[in-house]
Amino acid sequence: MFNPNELILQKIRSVEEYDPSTDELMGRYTQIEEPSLQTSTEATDVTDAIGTPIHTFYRNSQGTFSFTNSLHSLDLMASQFGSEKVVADETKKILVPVSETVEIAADSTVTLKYTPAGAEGTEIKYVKIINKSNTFGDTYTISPTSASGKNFTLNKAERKITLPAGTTGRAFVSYVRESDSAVKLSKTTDTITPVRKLIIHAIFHDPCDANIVYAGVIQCQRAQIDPTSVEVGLSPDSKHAATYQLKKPYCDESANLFDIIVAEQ
Amino acid sequence: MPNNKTNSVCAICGRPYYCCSDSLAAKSFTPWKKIVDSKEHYKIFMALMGYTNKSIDQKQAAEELKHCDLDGMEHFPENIRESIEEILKDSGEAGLPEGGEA
Repeated sequence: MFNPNELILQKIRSVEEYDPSTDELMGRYTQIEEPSLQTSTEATDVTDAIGTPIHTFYRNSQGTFSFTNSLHSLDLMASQFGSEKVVADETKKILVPVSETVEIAADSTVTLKYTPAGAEGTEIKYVKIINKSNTFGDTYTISPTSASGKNFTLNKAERKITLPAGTTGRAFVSYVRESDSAVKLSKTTDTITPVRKLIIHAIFHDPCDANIVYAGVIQCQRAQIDPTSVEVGLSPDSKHAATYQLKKPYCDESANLFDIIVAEQ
Repeated sequence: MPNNKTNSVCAICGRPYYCCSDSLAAKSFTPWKKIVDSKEHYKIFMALMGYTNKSIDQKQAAEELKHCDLDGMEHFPENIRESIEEILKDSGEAGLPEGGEA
């Protein structure tokens, strides 16, 4: 009979998020750091006439699962933002903002890296010159005719901007382009984090023989990312933290917040 | 928004007008508001730009301008006025063509 007590926890191998109604896999995170499972309960003291506690009732048991993913995960961000990741393809392109700083050629033209998107003529309204001191200089505005004065022309097919003759230096151009190989996720003000089912895979070792490995699973039937505070670090060394509030499934008689299962094989 | 608040200048007639960039960012059927103040001036803009970029020839540009409302052309910026006059010069259209489509 397999009935382990003390085990060596090597690591949490992965955290998987499922849609609780369809069991569709919504996200999988494999670079888990600092995982933690916590429970809490509210205590209500019963006191006598002079305030001495004589009994304590415990109610409102709750659970929390938190971890930090070493890498930034777009699927985890989608869960945290309560949105879906939009994937571009040939029929559904995504507009990608582009900002370019380009050296102005001898003929006062600037060649863009991408074809600007937008209604004809409205793709790029302004071009700013960058001075040698790295400050902004003159601003040029789109014109349909000639590049003169403070106007420039745009030839979209050739991705070429023509500035007035004699303009030198670098040009700063901001525009959008279409991409069929991009993803996009958005955070709106009227969505909240969805409720998921979590399956957390762990690796245990037998304390007597560390070569013996056991599979461990922590299963949370109802887990919702805490939307009251979500922070995504944007520096190179920042990780991606997430905290789930664990809830009891209403229809489940057993009222399990989570199950921990360790299998011998 | 006060009636006298403007934040853009029409690329065709040079008059200032107000354009809400947030409404352009949302799904809008008036993307031309980014650069001109009316749909008629956008038609002129397209004809001139096509001619400048050599995607249409003088004859085609003149044909497009024939269907544009060129009222007030005498007050357009010099480069716009000269470009229109150059296109219409040899096309047999003397002076201003008749008003554009409704």
